[in-house]
Amino acid sequence: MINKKDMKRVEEYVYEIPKSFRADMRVPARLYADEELLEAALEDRSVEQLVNTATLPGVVKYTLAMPDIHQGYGPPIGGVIPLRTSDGIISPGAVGYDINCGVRLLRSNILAEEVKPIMDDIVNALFRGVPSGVGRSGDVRLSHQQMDDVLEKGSAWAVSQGYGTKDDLEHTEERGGMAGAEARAVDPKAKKRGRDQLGTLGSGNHFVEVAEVEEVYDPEVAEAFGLFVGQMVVWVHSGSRGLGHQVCTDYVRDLQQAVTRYGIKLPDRELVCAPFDSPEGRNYFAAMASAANYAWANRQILSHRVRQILDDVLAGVVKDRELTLVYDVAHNIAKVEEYPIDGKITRLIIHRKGATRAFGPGMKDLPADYREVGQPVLIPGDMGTASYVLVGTTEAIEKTFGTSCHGAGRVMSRSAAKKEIRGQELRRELAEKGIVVQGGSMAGLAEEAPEAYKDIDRVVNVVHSTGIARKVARVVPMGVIKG
Amino acid sequence: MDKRFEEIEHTADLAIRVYGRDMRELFANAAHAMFALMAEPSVEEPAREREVSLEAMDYESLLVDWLNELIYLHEVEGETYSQFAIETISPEKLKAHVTGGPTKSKTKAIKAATFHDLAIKETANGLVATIVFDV
Repeated sequence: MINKKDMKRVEEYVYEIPKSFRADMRVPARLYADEELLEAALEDRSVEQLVNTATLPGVVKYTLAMPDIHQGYGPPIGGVIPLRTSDGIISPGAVGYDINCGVRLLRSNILAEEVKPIMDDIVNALFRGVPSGVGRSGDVRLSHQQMDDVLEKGSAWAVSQGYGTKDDLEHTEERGGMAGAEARAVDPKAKKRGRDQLGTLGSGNHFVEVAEVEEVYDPEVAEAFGLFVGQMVVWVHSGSRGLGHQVCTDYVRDLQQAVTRYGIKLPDRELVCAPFDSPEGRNYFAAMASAANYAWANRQILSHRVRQILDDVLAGVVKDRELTLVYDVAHNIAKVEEYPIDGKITRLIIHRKGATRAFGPGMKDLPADYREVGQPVLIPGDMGTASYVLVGTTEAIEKTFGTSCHGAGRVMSRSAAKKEIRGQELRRELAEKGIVVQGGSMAGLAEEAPEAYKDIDRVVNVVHSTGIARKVARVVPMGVIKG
Repeated sequence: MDKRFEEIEHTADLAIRVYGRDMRELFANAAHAMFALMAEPSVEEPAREREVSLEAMDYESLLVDWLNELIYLHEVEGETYSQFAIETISPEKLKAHVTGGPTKSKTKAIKAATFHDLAIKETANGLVATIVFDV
């Protein structure tokens, strides 16, 4: 077990586990947390999982965990692993099964007050119209060629089919299509698993949420993002569905032997990997990028559905029903980025597992309208509390490889949540707070109860105080559909 | 052995401890446990039957492959299985015959069985394995 005494505080809200803590660590590991979040992290095995990430070949400077850290499999959720592309590894287990699980935020010119009276109708319409829930298929059927196009082009394919606009692409990380994707690297089984799931939400923590901008902290940046107090906005949280799950399954299996072949010693078999610059590593990267593109196309089609549904249900209520994409971020992904290491610009493969890219002003990957202010960092919270819009910073580039947190982070297990919370009761309690919720299963709803999550205000406070992203706006839920 | 499996605490995902008197029973019980978490049993006639044939580098890999193959069939074929006859099993190979029916009611989506914390251990009462699922 790891204790507080095994860590040193390197600055307020940043704790470091030195390289000397365990013989197999190649670099230190850093955890962003306040006292209470640190105590919570020490309750389960997440910090041990963070230490494990510091043993991977080619790891540089330090591995990181964000304040929403919690126990996963392989790395902790909230983990960031920087590895040299020249002699480091890439790990399918460290990216995880829901490749490019991510979130997008759509803004409107609609006032929350205008839609609150009909929130039941809105939520019911979304629940009927957005395919969601366990294993539910959608109405997009892909031919073999179309599947390959989705995998190699991502959101651009969806837009070419009429699901959205070119402006949506500009406001998506990687423009919704990651370079290096190759459909041939994706096994036919994965394609089969994903063939009828494009445009579906899935289950678990995936959701569509209609929300209200409650408070703006940084008016200048909020204006650049098109956000204002009292505005209706919409969150869409989903990933690469069965296709991504199968890509990860396939490569976690296939790379088990590569680990032996390349003589890599691992503290946990789920951190299975291969050198980034090897046939196995290149193949996984090509497959992972393809699955990431599937996820972007998925969120693009989902937001198209949301636009259609809201246009329909709000006809006669408001005139301007346009929904504009603020941004779309990935939070399970490995990406090639450059950072100074020992005074030299070095190409790294940054693994973000439950962590969000948070680029500061001036980065060339940002759309022109955000380049001066920085990247929107979207932090969805639980369905009863709040979510945040932050902005990326130069400090994030210097301190956390351009990374921030991705959510509130779980604190209670699913089985404990189900034991303690009744789905129906939760729904009634949320309704009393003015939040309308629809979910596929009441047990599934209970697992996602606000009590199962950390205090998002606390998590975001750590991120804001350490400067790795700055608060722009706090957004509160009005209506939620859960898969 | 009375107890086939139990659910154990895991903050974000699902974890189970599975028991078996021998490897055949351990693999069958692991499959039972997973389907008990995922869906209501389906017993419609005629039964849907599938052959599963896998190769891996050791028993642990084989166990993960076995469960992931069943997740794949459950999702792609829309079937839920309730009988698992392990015909042959060695550290490198598994042949099994599974029986079930069309899925009627799904309760939980399991994305995959993982290698995290996975070890098949021998105890005085037989074999035990802990399996973490991504959900």
